[in-house]
Amino acid sequence: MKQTLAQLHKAFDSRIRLGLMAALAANPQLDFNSLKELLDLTDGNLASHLKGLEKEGFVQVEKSFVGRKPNTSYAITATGRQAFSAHLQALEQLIQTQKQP
Amino acid sequence: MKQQTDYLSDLQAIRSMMQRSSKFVSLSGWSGVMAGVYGVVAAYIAVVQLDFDPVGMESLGLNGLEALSALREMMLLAAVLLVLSIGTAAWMARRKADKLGEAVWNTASKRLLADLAVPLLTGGMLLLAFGWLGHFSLLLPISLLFYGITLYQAGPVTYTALRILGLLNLALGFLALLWPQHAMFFWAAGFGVLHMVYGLFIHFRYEK
Repeated sequence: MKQTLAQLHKAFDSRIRLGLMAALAANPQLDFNSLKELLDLTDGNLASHLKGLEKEGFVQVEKSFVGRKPNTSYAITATGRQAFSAHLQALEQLIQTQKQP
Repeated sequence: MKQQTDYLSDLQAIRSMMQRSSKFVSLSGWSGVMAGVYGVVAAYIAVVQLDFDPVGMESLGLNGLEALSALREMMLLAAVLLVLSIGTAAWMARRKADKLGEAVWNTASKRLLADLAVPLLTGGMLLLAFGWLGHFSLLLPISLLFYGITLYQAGPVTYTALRILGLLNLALGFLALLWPQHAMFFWAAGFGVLHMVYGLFIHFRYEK
């Protein structure tokens, strides 16, 4: 039990970060505005969560221009995908073990 | 410490986010049924009102502007069919998305549209080219074949059943190629009947 709990990554404690990772895991890349729409967040809030994930090395940022408008898109890194699927596995295990006491 | 229900709802949130961000499920089943109805009506008009007989027309040996002008009523009919079908689908998708509380214009639908544009436009250009060259008996099979490829490609982004619809249209396309004198029948089966069956399937499976 302790072991499994330790595998739950601290970065994913927040439901918002979990949602961000889920969206990025399911898509090759997403831009800032799509993420904002999907999670229904303010600019500041989304930016700080993305920054956090970027610091962990789970998310990589790509800045480009669409015409003259700057466009920032985000993609999950290999480390991020690994951590995310480990977290999912830990979640599933926890639910399994708690089902049969 | 978090409870089991928290973990469960974590998992549910993850699943719904992955689905919502990568799939486009706002396409309504009824718009498929309507597209089928339009398709059957169009096939009826082509055969009964316009006497469309591609094999007979081809033997006249027309080409260039003459060939295209022989097709002008059929091109008008095809354009009306296209506008009606797409218009109905877009209007109903908007209503369904509103009901589900989602945006029609999301990342998934944008990607879907971009993915579909290439095979659809290729098919459209081929139809024009073969019309120009006077190969009229190829028009119906080619429209079925390229529509089939397009639907097959759209499958992973929306309902998987669309892949099967695509494959069936491909099969009908090949049959129409082999039996050009019955091409209109295969076309009506693909664009008419299959659309209706697919639309009803989606409606009763996912929208009830």
